[in-house]
Amino acid sequence: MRLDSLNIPAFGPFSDFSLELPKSDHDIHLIHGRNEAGKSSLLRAINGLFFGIPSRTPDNFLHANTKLLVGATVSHGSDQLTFFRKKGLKNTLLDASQSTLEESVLKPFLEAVNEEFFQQMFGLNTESLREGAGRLLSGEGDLGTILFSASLGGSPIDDAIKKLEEEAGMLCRGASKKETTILPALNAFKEAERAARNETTTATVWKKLNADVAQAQAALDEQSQRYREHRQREQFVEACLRAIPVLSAIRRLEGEVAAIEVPDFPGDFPKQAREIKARLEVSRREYQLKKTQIETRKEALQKVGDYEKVLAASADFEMLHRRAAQHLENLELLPGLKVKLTERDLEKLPLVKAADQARLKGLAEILTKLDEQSSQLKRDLSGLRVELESQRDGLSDPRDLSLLEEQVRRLDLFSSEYRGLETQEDELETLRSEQERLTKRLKVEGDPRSLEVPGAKTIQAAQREQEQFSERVRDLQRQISEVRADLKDEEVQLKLLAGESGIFTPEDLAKSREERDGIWEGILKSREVDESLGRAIASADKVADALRDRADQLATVAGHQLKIARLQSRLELLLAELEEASSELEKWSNSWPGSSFGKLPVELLEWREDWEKLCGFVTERDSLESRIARTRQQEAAILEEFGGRDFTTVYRSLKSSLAKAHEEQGERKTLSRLLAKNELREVRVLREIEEVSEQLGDQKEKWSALCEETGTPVDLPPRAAVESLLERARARELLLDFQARASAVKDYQDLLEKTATTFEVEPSESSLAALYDRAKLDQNRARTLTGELEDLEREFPGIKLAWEADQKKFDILVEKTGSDDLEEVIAKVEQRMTLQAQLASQQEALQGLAGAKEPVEFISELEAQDRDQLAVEKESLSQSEEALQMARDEARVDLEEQLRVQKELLKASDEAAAQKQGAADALATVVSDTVRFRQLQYAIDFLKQQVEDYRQKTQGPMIGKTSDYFRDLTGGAFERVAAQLDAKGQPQLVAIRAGGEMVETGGLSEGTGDQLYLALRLAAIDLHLANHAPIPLILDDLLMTFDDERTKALLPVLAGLSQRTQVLIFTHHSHLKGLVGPKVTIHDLSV
Amino acid sequence: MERSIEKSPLGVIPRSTQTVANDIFGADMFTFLHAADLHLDSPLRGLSRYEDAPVEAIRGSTRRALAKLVDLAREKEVNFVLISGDLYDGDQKDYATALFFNKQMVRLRDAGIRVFAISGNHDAASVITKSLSPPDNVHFLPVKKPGSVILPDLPVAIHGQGFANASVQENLAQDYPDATPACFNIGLLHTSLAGSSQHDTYAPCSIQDLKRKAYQYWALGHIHQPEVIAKAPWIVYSGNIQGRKINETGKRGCFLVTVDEGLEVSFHEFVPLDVVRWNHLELDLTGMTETDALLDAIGDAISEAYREADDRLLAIRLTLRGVTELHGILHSDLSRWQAQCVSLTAEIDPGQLWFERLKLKTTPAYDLEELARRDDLTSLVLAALEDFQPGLEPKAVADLSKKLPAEALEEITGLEEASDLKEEVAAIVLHSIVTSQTQ
Repeated sequence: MRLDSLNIPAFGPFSDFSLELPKSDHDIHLIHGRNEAGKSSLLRAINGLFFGIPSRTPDNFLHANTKLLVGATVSHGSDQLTFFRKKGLKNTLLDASQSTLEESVLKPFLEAVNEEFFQQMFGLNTESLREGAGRLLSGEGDLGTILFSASLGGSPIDDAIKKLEEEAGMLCRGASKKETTILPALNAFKEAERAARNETTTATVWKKLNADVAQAQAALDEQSQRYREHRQREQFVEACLRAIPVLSAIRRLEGEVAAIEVPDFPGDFPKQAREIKARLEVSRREYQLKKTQIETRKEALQKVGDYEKVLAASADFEMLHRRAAQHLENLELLPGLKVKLTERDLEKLPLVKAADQARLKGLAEILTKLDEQSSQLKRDLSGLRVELESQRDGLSDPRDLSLLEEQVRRLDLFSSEYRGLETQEDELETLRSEQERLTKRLKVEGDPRSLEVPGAKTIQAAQREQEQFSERVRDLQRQISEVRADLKDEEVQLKLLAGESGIFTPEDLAKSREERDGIWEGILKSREVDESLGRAIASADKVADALRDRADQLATVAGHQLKIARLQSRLELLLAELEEASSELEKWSNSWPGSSFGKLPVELLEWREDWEKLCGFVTERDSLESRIARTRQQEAAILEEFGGRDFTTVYRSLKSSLAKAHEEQGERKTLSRLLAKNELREVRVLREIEEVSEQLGDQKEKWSALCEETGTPVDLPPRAAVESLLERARARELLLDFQARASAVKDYQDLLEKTATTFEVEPSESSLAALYDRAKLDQNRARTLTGELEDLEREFPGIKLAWEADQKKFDILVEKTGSDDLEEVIAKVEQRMTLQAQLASQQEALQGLAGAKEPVEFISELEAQDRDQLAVEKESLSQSEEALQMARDEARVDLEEQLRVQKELLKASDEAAAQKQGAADALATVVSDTVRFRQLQYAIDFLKQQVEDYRQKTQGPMIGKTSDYFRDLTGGAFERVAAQLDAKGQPQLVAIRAGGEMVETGGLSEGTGDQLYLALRLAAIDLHLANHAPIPLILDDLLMTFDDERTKALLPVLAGLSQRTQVLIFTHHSHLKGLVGPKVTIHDLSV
Repeated sequence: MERSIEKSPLGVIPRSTQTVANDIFGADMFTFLHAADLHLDSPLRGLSRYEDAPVEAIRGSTRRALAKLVDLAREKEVNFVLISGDLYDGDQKDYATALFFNKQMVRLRDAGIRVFAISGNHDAASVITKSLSPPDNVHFLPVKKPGSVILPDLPVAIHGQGFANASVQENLAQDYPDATPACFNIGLLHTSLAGSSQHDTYAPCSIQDLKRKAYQYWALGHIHQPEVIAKAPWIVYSGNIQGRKINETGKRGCFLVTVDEGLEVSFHEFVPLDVVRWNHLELDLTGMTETDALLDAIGDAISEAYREADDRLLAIRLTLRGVTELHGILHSDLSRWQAQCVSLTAEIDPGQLWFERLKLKTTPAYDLEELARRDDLTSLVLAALEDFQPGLEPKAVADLSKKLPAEALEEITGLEEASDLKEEVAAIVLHSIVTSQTQ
């Protein structure tokens, strides 16, 4: 793949930049740009183009991140692709129409080259070259690694091995247990195994323990048996002792029971007999009681009075009772009413109808209201007239303000101008001071505007011309300086070579011999031996010796001398060029358009800026001065017209007068508006008074007619007349009330007397009420007694029958006992039952003492005992019991201990099983991790073997290619390189000089070391190109570490390589352009 | 003849169903259980512990399985129980194991159930066997020559010979006595038959050797996988009652056998007894590209296995296969993925699931041609990898092997065959190259 062109719309300092890289026989391009011209950006652009622009790019200082765009046209064989790359995370590859392209379209051009490989393999700069050279020279690592490092730019296989070793190291690392898994798991396995063995219960131990348990059990059984037997005897003796009194009681009770002579009755006989007797007594008593109650009721009924006649007249009684309260009230009120009627003379007051009363009342209200309204209106009119009078007096003649207003308007106009006067004077002062400062700095006399100064564009053009001239001069001076340094270097070396013995050339020898022979000729001629002959001979011999002895050295000297001569010649040429360039510069300096000002363009450009400012100041000052003068003139005219010290005072006074006049004018207007309003009100009030008077007249006429009609006195005021009518109506109501009450009193008394006569009682309300109440009580009593009598007569036959039945039962009972004294029989039966209960209790106690034995058996055993000895035996047994109990408990403790040991052993066995499981679990970890470890180790060994095989395979071609490049790069000074084993048996790279001398890498100069490493890298690229598609090789300022000689040697090498892949050389050394020769295409980089 | 009777959900035929069957086919005469390879107190192997692993749940699993066997015998009221060898491991020295065995046998005795057993290769030399005094319902058949027991109450003759030592290479079957007439003849034998790849060869014999004896039922032991070898006559491996490692996956238990009045097997069914079940799951990841999908698939597979385990603790191994882009991610950090699987099992039921191991058998979806173009060395490595054969053991491995106990080495050899090693190493190498970078 090669780059046909680079197109950079926006990236770093580039805007719409393009660079064509045409292909020729030698695809090698020198891209020259001074520092900061954008070489580094261009390199990053190429990298970004292929592999994406990094998220944190330094190339966004001119164009925003979103605008960054780089493009190129690349070709490989017949395939060509034009594409662009924008900044972003995805879909950043675009075609010429800015549509997204798949990354895979680059694959045919880049093949498997990734970003790291591209940078390592095809991007060489001083830093990477020096770093590689440094490692090579210090003998770091083995040769193989360095060779691979050179050839592969760092092998990914090394990385793979390292990662696998890291993982394996986490599983097992020799004997280390720290941060590994296998050995710690192995330890855990062994410990668990050991613990399991320790916890195991063997058959022997278990059997012995079983025997111990059995023995302890037997001992316990024996002790328990002995204790049990002892306790049984003790319990028997105690039972006997307690049974003796029980047995006596039983015998006694049996005798007593037999002595009682009554027939056998069931156990509940006394209870039943007593119940029959008691029930008979109850039923008899109930029969007697009912009989008495019936008789009592009948007697009481006969004693109840005749209430029926009274209750037949109950309507009259009820009426008297209801009206009694009203009757009493009437009796109380009648005298008072009578007095009130006497006081009013009803006849004197004519009766007025209710409708007329309402009309009179309505008219009286209207008349009163109209009268009040008329009075209020008259009061309002009077007040209004007083106010009108006052307002009319307040108005006087108006004043003319037009002149004053015109004057103030004029001064208003001027005042705005006058206000800016002070600022203008300040500005003028500043302008004058600035003008003075600039005039002094620019050294201008007179009006600066009259000067003819060249335009800025003209000066800038001149500045560029000057820069070109100066650059050429500086370049020449730098070259001269370099040549002089080289010359000095050569001379020093020459001097060193010459040493004290001096340097001789064949010409010196010829000259010495000529001199010697001349002298010899002279001697032959003069026959005189001159001292100078000896010196001449010696000198010639010395030269001859020196030439013979130090031929090699002299050859080197000759080389230096040749170089010095060449350098001197070049120096002369450069000096001549410099002189010419300087002269051109001077000539230009005297002739350029601004030369009359005695300044360089850059100075004149700056001067011109100030001059433009000065001209501006002068123009501005003139304008300001004329404005100030005009204002001052106007002020003087105003002061003359209005008098006064200054304009401000005059202006303020006039404004104040006008304001006051305006204020007065305003007040008059307000008063006039009020007067007009009040005059209008006066007219309105007069009209209202007239209307009210008219209504009043009408209503008064109506009133007079109505009074006449109703007989109401006309002379009375309307409200008093209405009041007299009301009084008449109230007296009439009083009379009617009196008449009604008097009639009611009479009716009541008539009825009272009539009723009293009928029942022959006192004619009073209270006696009649008592009579009526008693009749009602008698009626209730008779009803109650009749009901009770009916109930009693209904129940009586049943009660009588029950009594007779109970009597019959009692008679039968008496007959059964055979005795007339039932109570005596009952008492005997009860006594016999008590004795039998006591007997049963004693027999039960005896059964309890006998325990499981039959009482008969127990009694027979008891009777066999010596009763006197029983107590003694019991005491003895009690004393010996404790010892037996203790012996049994001890045997039990012993057995429990044995069982506990047995249980613990079983528990330990469970633990052993758990430990075994733990061991199995740990073993599982050991196994699984070892399997992985084993796989990893196989993989590591396999990869290492491949690396070694590859080293063996590639070392030969690498060494061969490196030798070729190294020889070419050193101009033949070194013949080849070779790999040799050092003292430790490690391969080391050595350089072999042209004469066969072997130089270890450590013995090489820095420059030669660079050449060796470059040779290694070029060899690696060469080998890579043998099997892969070409990728452009980019050398970034690499040649700055190479002097011209080395550069001259390198360029043909690169030219050769450029026939196989594109080579781009970035440099800021302009002199390289002169060194590269015709095979190299030169591009100047200017943004 | 075997009857086709529908199984109950619990895998055990309820009595009532059997009664119905009896009405149809004729009355059953007796019932027995056939079990073998109890390996009491032998630990479960291959379970690397991790944090929160259900350690307690696997404790005493072989004991609990035996207790379940006894429960079953009592529940089914079987007439006798057969145990065809390997009651314990040979290195089992703990007498508590024997006590536990006896305790269970006493439970059978209390229910009136007899036990007939032989020793196998494991328990032949066991110190426990030598000192064991089983209760009187347990009858061990002799080891020096075949012995027979004819039951007094049933027409049953049981023949058998136990192992006298740990390695019996003779054909024991051929010396077994001929069938007793008018009896249901049962042969108890601990044998590898003609040989098994997973088990050592012991007491070898052919099926013909067994058939020749004209017994009705051969109750075999030694092979841990339950299998009915033949039905005429019945030649049956009951398998072990509790799986102990990942090779012993699936249900483990015993056979429940019913014989009718015609002295023919009327009912024969496997009844699981295991308390910890081993399951080796496999997932094909072909075409799978997302890790989320992978985790979902693993979770689903484990959940399904968990449901099928019927409340037992389940020890799971998961092998991933197929051509997948995930190959690299899986190989680059196997331990992290193992931990992910452990975490998934913990999410489902930390008390009932133990994730044994994740095994990768996936194939990469790399473009090897493109990779080979990267550089010459890579190209060389890829070419060599095609012909890679594991050679001499690397030194670091040999050094480590010297420190490992024999059982570890044995398990490693058992775990990994040569083809496995080759594939694994190739996968590791390939992935390491793909993910490596230039330095």
